[in-house]
Amino acid sequence: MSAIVPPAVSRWRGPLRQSYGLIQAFAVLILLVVVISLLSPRFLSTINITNLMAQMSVNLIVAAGMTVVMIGGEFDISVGSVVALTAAVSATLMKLYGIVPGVALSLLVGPALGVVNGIIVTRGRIPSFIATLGTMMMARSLAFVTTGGRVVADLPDAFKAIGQGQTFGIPNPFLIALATYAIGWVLMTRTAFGKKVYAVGANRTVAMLSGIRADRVKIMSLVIVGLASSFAGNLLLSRIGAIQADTARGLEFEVIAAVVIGGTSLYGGQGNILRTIIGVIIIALIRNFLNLSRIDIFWQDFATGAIIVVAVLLDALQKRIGRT
Amino acid sequence: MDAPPILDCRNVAKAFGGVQALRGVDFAIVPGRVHGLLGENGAGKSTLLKILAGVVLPDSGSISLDGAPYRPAGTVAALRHGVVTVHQDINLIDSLTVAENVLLNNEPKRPPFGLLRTREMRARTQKLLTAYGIDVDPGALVSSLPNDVKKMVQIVKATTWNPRVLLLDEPTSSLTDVEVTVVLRLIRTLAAQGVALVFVSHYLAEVFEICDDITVLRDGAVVASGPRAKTDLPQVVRGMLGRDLDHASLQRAAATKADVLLSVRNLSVSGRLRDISFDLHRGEILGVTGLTGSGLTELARAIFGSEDIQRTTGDFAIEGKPAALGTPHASLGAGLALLTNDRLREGILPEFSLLENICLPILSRFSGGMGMLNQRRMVETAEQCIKRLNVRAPGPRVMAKTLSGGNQQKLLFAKWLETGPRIFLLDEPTIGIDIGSKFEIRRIIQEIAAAGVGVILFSAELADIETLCDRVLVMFRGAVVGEFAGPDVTRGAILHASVSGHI
Repeated sequence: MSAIVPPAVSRWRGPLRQSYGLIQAFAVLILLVVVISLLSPRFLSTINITNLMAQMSVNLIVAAGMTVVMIGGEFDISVGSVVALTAAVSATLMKLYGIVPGVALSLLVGPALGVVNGIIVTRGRIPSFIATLGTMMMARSLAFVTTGGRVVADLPDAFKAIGQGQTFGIPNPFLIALATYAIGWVLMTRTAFGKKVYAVGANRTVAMLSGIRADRVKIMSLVIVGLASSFAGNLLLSRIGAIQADTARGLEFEVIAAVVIGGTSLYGGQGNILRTIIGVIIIALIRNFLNLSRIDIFWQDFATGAIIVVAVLLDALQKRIGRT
Repeated sequence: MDAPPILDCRNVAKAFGGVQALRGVDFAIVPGRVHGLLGENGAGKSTLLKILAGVVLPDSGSISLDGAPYRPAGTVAALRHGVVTVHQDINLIDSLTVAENVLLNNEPKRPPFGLLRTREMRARTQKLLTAYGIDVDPGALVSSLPNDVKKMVQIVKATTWNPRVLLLDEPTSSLTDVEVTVVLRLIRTLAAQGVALVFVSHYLAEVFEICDDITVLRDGAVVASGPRAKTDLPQVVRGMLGRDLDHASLQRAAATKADVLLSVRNLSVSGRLRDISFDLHRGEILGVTGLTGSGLTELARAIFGSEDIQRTTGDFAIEGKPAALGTPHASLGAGLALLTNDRLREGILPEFSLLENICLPILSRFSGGMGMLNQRRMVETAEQCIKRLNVRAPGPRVMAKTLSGGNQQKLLFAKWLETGPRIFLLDEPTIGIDIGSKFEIRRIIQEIAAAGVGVILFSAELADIETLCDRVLVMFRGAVVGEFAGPDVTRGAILHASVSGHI
């Protein structure tokens, strides 16, 4: 009965379904907070909450960029290595030439690798998962080369003040991360570029025939996640005050998991960048809970993995129900 | 109808949610006869088929099969009763052979390990193919077959269930005119063997050619039913639409021959198109037709610069000035637009709103400072488009997938017209849509041309070509083999050239 135009009710279905997902994700988050605070009294302490906020900001920023890439139908698993390489470059240059040159030059690391990733993916027609696996290993190696395998510390206090400071009692990195999302939200919903990312992710042929240069859009989205990773690398460096080359290992999968839990389609074309915030918080809360309850650290990845499986299954189930 | 019916529906009703899809339908079919089931999209044809095939249960009414009550609990139960459906899509597995497809999940096996008896499979399939007069090797891969043979293999596969009732859902919709005659002959053969057939189709000419009885549905009720001999085409169309069709076509602005809009010279694509040259004039509707596989879609895409087609040679000029048309982006900039033939896979973005679908090629028009989109102007533009093309939708923010096929097609016309094309390439614009929308879309095409746009209509549907085109190019195996203009544009001449490769 495909020809029957649905009644006027459907006028609200589009926006409503989107916010329905947001409300649903938010409800899960609230439930999680209530359960954790009941099970673990220390959870709601100021120290724990501020620590949690500061710790999750790197994931938040990288996940914002990853959401853009995944809506465009690609992945970038080099992000963890880019965070480490950027921090290593920034710390080394900073000690030689000062804060501003160090930070500015290191912010080019991610976008440059993004261009490389983008060209391999679009011109070489290589699945991005594989292409970025290569650059992931190369960037990690460069991070070791840059630091010579040693911890780089003793950074200028003015630089550390940014990441270690608070504003109105909230850690600066968390506020910066939220600002990133404001920009990301505008980019994805209010600009032509954002619409193009959605279109390319949903159906590359349709986008191409509509005159969209799909390859440019994909390269640009990989540059954006690169920039986000480099930005996050500097923030991490500023907060910790030191860097070693194997920092942020496995960050890529934690971030992809957060984006998926936030409801972005694994196949591209669908997603909401604000929901990614909730995805990141959910994963951070669960890790925090496992820490507080002194559960063996070896079980933590198991828990994260199980959550991803459940989230993806729920997503698929919801889609199937929505279809009938 | 002298013989007693094998399948007899009485007063069958079915509702989905609040929509009454069938309201008390009587429908009877007789062995050895082909029964045409007609109606616009949404008239209730597919619901009736689904009930007979055991996909859904009716809310009320009774059905009897061979005198016994028939109420299949599922599709498998229906198959066991000998009620077999041939679906509209060709659902064969391309990477398997004809024999493997025909006997899929029904293969003869050799104990104890269940190894396949491949020789027996081929022999059994060969016997079936011979019985229906189909000349194809049972060992051939399905992917290597033309569409009509695939359709016939699909029907032969259905006969392995020993059907007493065969439900054919749009069996010819994916075929060209020549292929249709072959499939229709097979359907007559089955009827001669005593099978009762239901033939659902939008193609009225075929229905009149092949059916013994005709039933017309509208809004879930039977509006006409009886032997074909007692009705005629206008009567059936009136029944389907509930009104007279307005056949009066718009008077076109006569194309001035001097005014060449687009010229294509020596366009070739390795293995697909051979040395194609032609001119398109302002305000002209130029038809390009031929059999499936003759290169219609390839030509449309090669002109547009789609990246899946690599041109080997070819020069283009727009209003006398050379144009590269190397990428879709460049072609759109030069004033071209391409409506693709696969609406669902390469046309609409089903999960996107009408607004987003329409504005996709023209996003830059709404970009203001810092690349921010002017949402209000986008909504206004979309609303105007929807109104102008009479797209029946509650508003610009609903998702494209909620529209019917005909309205989705009008949405695509709206999208491309909004780019302000001077040259509009239409690849099978009326494929798979109901007859009401088809007439609306023909009218839209005429209006576009009347406004001075050059239209190239790539279509294997001769009815469209004949009604709309001033001039027609016929393609055969990747080359243009004939040109017809004015009074010479007739179905017979075009069909002859399409099949034979020469005028």
